[in-house]
Amino acid sequence: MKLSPLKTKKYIHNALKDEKLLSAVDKATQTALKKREDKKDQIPYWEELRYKAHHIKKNVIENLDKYLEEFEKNCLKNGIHLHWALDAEEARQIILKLLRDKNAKTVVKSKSLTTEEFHLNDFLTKNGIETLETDLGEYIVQLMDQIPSHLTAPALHLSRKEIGGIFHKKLGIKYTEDPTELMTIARNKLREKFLTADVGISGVNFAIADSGAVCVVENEANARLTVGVPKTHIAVMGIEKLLPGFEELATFLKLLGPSATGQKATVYVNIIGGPLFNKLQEGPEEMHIVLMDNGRSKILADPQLRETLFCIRCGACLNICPIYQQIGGHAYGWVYMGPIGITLIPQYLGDKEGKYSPFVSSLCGACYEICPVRINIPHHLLKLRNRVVDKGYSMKVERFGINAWAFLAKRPLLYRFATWFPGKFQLLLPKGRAFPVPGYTRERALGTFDLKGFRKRFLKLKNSDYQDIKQKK
Amino acid sequence: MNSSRDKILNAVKEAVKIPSRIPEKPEGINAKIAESLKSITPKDYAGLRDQFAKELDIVSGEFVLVKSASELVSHLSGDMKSKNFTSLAVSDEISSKNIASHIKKELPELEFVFPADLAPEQKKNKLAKTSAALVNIDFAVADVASLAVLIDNTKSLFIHYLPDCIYVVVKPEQILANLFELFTKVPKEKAKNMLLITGPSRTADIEKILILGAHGPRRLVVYWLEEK
Repeated sequence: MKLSPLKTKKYIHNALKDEKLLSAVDKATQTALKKREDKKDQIPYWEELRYKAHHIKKNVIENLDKYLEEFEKNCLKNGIHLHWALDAEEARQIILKLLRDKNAKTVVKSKSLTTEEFHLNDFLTKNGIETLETDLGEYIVQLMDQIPSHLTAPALHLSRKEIGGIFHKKLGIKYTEDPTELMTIARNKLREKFLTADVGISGVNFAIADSGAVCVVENEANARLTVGVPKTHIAVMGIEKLLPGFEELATFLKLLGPSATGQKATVYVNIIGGPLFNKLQEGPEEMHIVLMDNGRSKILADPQLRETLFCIRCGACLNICPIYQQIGGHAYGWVYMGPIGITLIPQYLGDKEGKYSPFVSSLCGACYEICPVRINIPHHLLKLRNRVVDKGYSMKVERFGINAWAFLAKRPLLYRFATWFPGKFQLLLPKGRAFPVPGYTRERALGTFDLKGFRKRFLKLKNSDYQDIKQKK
Repeated sequence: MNSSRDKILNAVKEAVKIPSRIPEKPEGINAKIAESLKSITPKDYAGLRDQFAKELDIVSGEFVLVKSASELVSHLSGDMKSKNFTSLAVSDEISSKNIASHIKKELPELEFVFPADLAPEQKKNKLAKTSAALVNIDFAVADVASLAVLIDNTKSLFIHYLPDCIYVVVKPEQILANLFELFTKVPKEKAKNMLLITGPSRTADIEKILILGAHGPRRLVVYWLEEK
């Protein structure tokens, strides 16, 4: 499934017509929000913890060079092979070479949004390596030939009927829509793969600079099996995932569970500081980490937008977002979606390709309120919108509208006529019909124009009215 | 050193020279967190144990308080019998082996699997087909019901997640109040290879319906051994 953020308007129109999607997204986001609220309420120092996490990330990002060097030094000490990838293509080639060196035929993979950035699964499949997603949600979307529609719940947009249908079609099993049966089928299929796969590829939630270790957080045990059973483990991470030490990790683990899935703690926290075969006579003999830039250092160079690198991919901002709740994840057209996604799309893909993304927001601020690391998403969206406009990528109709307004605003008589006219014109429309604006009113209604208009009302205000308003304030 | 490394590090070094326009955190945050943590943390051992039991129940784990090793053996054997389990993997610690030797008397037909005795290739396949495992852990974290396994102190990690049912023996001295305490207590050299387990494996990826036993164990039973 190849999506593009340039087609986001089309995707949104389609999503808005999809009642099934709306119902699935609504159910999932409301459940997650309710559970989060419950767990958050049990942590009375939640707000302080958010500030603390923000400060930890600020320190890491502002001193990223030092933490990267420290992490590298400690990884090498732990016998981990570290590979630096400047961009997506280099990351792909590094992984392919590692797999070819191991003569790998089958790879099991646990959830990694970083690898989605560079379409690793398709790339490896094209190169003759069977690559299997093992998180149930990821496995389902892989069978459907889709990409995840949520950062932590990849198959959130699908009903059990659709999942049952794809299992029947692709796995050749008898149709069932019973969730437990479907899970058991996936478990049995994948258990065999876990035990025979040559290499396990995982993402990384956090990397610990002072210990040269990575932390992978999950619920299903698929990541545990991915990093713990095959002879080679490859972890793929962005350079921004670092934390100074384990004390800081505790803060983030406390925040991540409630924010992501409404759990106080996720079922498995895997902390891996090197291959364990020599110690345990089981599991990986080799461990590799692919440390990828792919545009992150460019984001870092912006003194304001670098805050978007604080993101821990919990997905809480998606759940709370009134836009995401209406359109789901695929409408955004890329691997990162929702409020944080629309800040990342233009930064990773460029302002031209991501020109629509920062506008897929009501700027209500709910994402900032919920973010466990206090990323001021609305503030960054305004900056990104400015960038789109400054570079001349805004929509023609918008540019025309703003220019027209500027022209009129400088000419009071014309301005008065222009603001009087729509009110009168709407009287010609059938009662109850809104003013039609091509494109804009396809899925929403424009408010009716006030016949009196602001100017008339304003001029009628008496001095006493001002006082009244002031007092009310 | 490859050139991508240098390019990335140089780009990062140049970028961080630009001062941030990100607000600082308010003063006194750490003190407030410490104070708040203190106010919600149970004051004594019994409080911590009960908190652990409650939290474990919330994450669908099972808590069994036992006053002696023989009570543990009796309960565990009964449980295995009721579930028709045919094999039990036993972790390498002497205490686990002792308990296993007593279970053997109760369930003579049960097959016992000792991971340390198995060849590497054989180990994963055998443990994946074993009904249950009897394991030890290093710490139990009360406020989230997490069990911490330090890899330095175990001979097998497979045993913690390949069998279908995990029986864990916890002793009172292993209780810690919260994750902050855990990461303060465990030296970083040991913390860098650690597994935290909070309840049985689970998923809610199909219509948010909770299913236990996704890819890992379907049951997690904690025997809290308060033996004098």
